[in-house]
Amino acid sequence: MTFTDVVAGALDVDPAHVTDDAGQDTLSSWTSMRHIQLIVMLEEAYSLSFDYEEIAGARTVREVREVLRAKGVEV
Amino acid sequence: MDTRLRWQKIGRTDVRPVVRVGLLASYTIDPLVPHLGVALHDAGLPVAFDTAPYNQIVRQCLDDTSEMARVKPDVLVVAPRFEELGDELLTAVDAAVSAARRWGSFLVVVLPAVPEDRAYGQLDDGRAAGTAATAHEARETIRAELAGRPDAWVVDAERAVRAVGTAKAHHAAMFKFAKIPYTEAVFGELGGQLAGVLRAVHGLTPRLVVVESGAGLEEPARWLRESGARIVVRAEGEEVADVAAREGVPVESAVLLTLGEAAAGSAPVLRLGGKPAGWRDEVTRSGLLDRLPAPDRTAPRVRHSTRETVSLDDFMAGLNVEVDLEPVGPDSAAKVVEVVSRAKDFTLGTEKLDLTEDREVFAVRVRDKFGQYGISGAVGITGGTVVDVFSLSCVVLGKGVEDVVLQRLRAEHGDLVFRHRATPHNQITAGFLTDAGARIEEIP
Repeated sequence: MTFTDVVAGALDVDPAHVTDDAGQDTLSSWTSMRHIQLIVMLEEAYSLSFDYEEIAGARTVREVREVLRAKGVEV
Repeated sequence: MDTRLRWQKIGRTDVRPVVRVGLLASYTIDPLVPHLGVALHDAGLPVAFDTAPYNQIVRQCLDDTSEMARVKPDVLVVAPRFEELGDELLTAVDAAVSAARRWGSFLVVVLPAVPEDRAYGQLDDGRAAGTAATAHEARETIRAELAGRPDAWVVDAERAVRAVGTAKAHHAAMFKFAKIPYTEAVFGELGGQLAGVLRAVHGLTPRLVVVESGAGLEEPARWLRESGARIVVRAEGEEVADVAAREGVPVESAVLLTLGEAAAGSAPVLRLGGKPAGWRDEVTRSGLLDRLPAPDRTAPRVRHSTRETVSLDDFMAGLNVEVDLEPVGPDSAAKVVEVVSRAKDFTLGTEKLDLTEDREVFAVRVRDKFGQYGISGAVGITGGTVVDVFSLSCVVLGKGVEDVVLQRLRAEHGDLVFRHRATPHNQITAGFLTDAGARIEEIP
């Protein structure tokens, strides 16, 4: 499963909408509960865990991608 | 992950739920939903969930206008933890028992896990007043009060935590972020336990187990017999449907227990693996052991709590909630902005708070008998008469904080107008203001 697939699945949006600029302010389905779902699914998909600042700070697809890259995941 | 995606997919189908399950917990229990939902869907019991805001067990159960009271779910699942409720835990369970009785709900209480933090360190286990002793006593009190009731059952968070392993059971960052204490694995285990209970309660556990003749399955058959299943050995070549008909059981209530590729027709099959050492786990995971005991008319009368169920007013008064409103200063500015941006349920629809705008802004600090919540909300007043920021963190909802803030605002500023923008999530704010008789100015 690709990064885009995980994000699209977690947020229940078309993969075409998973652009770097997409975020909590632009995707109406990116609610707080979906954000939790996204975090949980990313943790499972990449076998890692996020700390509080990473969970709270990743509010756009780009920021999520940057957090993963900082953890050594190529996305 | 697959479970979550499957639950989303199920949600898009037109399968009509036949059971409404209400979830109340002292923590955020939403991650349980996909695990329990999928397990019950697969068992042929489509369900819908209603989840109340976290840590509002007592209020939801005692307030007849609460979200859960309006739903009156068929099944009420209540999951308290010692960490949030302390010595109020039994009060929460008593309130749940009372509510389930009034609403006609089947009650399932999730026995709380023994806290990891021990008051007396390594010597805690030997102390009569230690964390472990106190927790075990409360757990057994709950079990004793609910065991034997025809309208209630318990499952056990301790067992779920143990199955996963303590080191992999907790998610500190997610707890700090969203009050979710457990990992997905624990919610998966809890979902399995709850699904087992609800399958049994709704008569979905197969009654008849048909065993292959000469298959060497005597031991699993014994486990199943001891759990209350009817065991029948089928003759060679006999169809499961014929065995079921002979035993007077619908074929859908029969299951074939086998080692090989034996044909079962339309009946479900439990095919055990080649290693007998794994059979116990396979049988347990299949749910075939999940059976309610037969009614025992000679059983002693159910032991009910001798504690009086606390009233909502008494409970709220006992929380000793204290609310302070203080002007925002350099020390509190960042936290206030964060609280406003994160408040989704109780907010006037303010997404971002700009502190450079011409507006009086107050930080709301809250504490109660359970501890300090710090800055938990904010109020902004423009022009002395218009409230355009009124946001509270979920952490402090259900404690009457919003009432206290509104009273203070009215006392100090007189009649105010609340500028409200509806969002997909802030209905409770409009409802609260309407009930309080506040003047609301709706904005697009």
